[in-house]
Amino acid sequence: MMSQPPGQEIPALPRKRERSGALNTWRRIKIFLIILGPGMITANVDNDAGGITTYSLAGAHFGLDLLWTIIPMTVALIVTQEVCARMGAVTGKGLSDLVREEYGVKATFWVMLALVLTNLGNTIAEFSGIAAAAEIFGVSRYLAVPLAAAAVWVLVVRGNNRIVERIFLIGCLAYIAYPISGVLAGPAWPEVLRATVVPPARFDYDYLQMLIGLVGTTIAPWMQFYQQSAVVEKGITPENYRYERWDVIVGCTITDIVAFFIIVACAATLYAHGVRIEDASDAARALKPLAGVYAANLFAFGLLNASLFAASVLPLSTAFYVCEAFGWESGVSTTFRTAPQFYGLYTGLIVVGAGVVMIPRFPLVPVMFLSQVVNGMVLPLVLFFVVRLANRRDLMGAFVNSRAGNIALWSTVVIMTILTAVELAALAGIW
Amino acid sequence: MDMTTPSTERPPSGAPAASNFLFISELLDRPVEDALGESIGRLDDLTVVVTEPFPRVRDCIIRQQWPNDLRLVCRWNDIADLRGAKIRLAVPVTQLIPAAPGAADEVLLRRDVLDKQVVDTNGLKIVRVNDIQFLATPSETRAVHVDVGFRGLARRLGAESFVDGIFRRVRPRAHYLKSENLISWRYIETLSPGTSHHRLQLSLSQAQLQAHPADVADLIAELDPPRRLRLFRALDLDTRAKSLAKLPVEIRARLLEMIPAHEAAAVMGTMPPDEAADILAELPAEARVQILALMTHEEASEVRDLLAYPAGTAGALMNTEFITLSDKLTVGEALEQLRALAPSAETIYYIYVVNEARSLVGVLSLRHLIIEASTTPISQVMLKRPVHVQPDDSVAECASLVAKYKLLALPVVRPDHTMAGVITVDDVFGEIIDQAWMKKFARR
Repeated sequence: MMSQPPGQEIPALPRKRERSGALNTWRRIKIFLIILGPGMITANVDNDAGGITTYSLAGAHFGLDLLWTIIPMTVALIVTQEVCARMGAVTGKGLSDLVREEYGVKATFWVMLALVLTNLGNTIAEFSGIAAAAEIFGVSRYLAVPLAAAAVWVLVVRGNNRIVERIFLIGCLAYIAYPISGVLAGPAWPEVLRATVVPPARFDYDYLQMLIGLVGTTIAPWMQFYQQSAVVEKGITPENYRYERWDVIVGCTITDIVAFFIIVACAATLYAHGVRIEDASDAARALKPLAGVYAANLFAFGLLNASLFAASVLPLSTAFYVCEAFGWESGVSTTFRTAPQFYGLYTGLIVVGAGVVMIPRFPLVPVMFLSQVVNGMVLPLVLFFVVRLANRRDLMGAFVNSRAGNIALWSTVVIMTILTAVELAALAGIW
Repeated sequence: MDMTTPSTERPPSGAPAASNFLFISELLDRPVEDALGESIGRLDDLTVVVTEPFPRVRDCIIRQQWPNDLRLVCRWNDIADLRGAKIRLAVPVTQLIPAAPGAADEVLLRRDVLDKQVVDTNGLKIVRVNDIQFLATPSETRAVHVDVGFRGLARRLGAESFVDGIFRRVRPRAHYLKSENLISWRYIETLSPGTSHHRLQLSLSQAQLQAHPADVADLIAELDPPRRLRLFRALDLDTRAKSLAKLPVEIRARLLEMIPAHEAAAVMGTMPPDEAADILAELPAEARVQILALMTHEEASEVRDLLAYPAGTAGALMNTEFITLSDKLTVGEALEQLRALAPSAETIYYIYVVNEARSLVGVLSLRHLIIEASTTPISQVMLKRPVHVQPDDSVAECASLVAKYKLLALPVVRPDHTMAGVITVDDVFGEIIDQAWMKKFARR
């Protein structure tokens, strides 16, 4: 009762009086389980086709040389996602709404253009993942990709989104294969530990590009929009926000633990034998220590699940953000006639995403990787607005961003901007 | 902002002679220079007087060039020329005063309206403001339209002629080229959280909205939470009560959490007690107790009684507003009393007849009262031993009785034969539909 609307003064989080210890703990766990979701789902969609590919490439081609990035990336990811979840809870608005309302049409236009283009890249990557998984199963991509595109379209528009999400979330259990496989491969653990904290002195172009790809796939620009909208949709309030914070932290940590073990498993199996990943079945060999001859099937299942999960989330959410920002009708309960922009964008992303993959001899693995590099390049633009918004006392009240949070966010923005600039300069120099 | 400036209304000397339209997008961020040609900064915002149907532009706010971050106020009528490359003022920079920070009671067009969600009370939908159109006359400038169309977006991007060109080439008959998509300011409700509250209550009565409470509820659900609250509080008490009852449970609970308890209590008091009890039952216990404590004693005790019955029983479903008459009356006297009692009762089609011990002895329909002679005692025309349920009977039981006897309402009678309430056919209907839906979802 009596809490005030955001934008005005917001009282500090009310502390509930402690009752009996056991009951209280149980009650907390219950609230946590009810709220659990937005952070967990965002984090698991994060390990999509592009993610699995990028981590596999990092491990297979660079061994343990990039393992040191995991801890700083996890910190940056948690800080970023936490800010967005907090903004969603306090303002009750999505990120695209906030950018539009506070920075006007021009800023919104460029942010949305960048988001649509990167998410088109991500959607192409998801359908590439579907094609790659299908081919491991011996199914032609010319059959699998159109079928998957149609299934995703119908599932999302006509089906029940929440149930679809839950099913894919269960499918994500397949990622457990990587830690097990990584351990069974028997890497030199002292070396792994050292590589986790000590970065090697290395600055060639390939390494740099891989670095951008890694950050881009881990902290993808769509995630901030998705996280914030999911928090708003779930109706999380400033009062019960502290439980959502744990959802974000747990989700992000799990994502990066999976990433860590993909890199370790690939380093111990592929890099150790000098195997370069040319197509997805090469990447599947990282699961050999666990699954033996079934490695390819296990990998393909995980890849298919991840790709379908992300393909059912990304195009739809992109269409939502764009329509919200520009004030166009949106939602799956509308029709094409009343919401042409929404359906046009949603259908367009799927059709183009799936269509590009159907081009004969389309290079699946490089595209899955390069889409993540583009993610990394767009990230500073989105984070720039996130950090500015999170510091607006008139919007955030008592929940305004802390100094530590600002340092972490600004350093991510600065580092990614420098990396992107160097990458672009290198590209210009090469051609 | 600046309330003390002596306001001598005079037309800006260099202003256009005739009236013409202009958009806020043509003004914002334009460079501003003072009467001596000294550059001051850029036009940042415009303040308007919103007490009139078409708000008059009063001041403009000028943002100084970086690294100065002072914002200066200049009266609109002190603008000498709008049409040059720079906006020229009729006064020197030294006469401008700094904008007072935190003047929250004023409407700033960019801060509070542009790019925000507003309610189009005519079309009854939520739209986003892409641009604002003014009508400028020699003496004053007023906001007259908001642009919610694609053209407004293109104009804001500075690409209006470019987009026009594309459309002319590709689809010369496109709807876009002809339509303006402007909404009159009269139909706009701004709902910006920074602005004063009383203003909204002035402008958004049920009469202006002219919408069914269920449609208003849809509108509320579509908004983001801070604006939800503002729209809700802008409604009159009766519309608040009716639309609150139609809101989805989650949104309703969150909305009630955001409004002060005494306001919630006022809304609850306006509702029929059965609806109020249903809504209160959804709230956390603390909030429920707080609201009940702030309702009038009479209202609260009725609601408390209803809350005491477990969900799914007749007692929880029933309404305590019904009409009872003494069995000693004649038809004429009964009609007389009915006229006096009817306005507050939910249903008047059935009149329940009680004896001195307040036990239910019969039921009269409105039809009986109308067709019988006025001198006939009602005890002779009433239906004796009416069909009834007890407070702890199930809803399914009520439904089957309503269906079997084709009743519009069913009396709920306590074990001591006194009447506790009535259940109307729409209460039963609503409940049964809810249950059917729940089963359907459970199967999924």
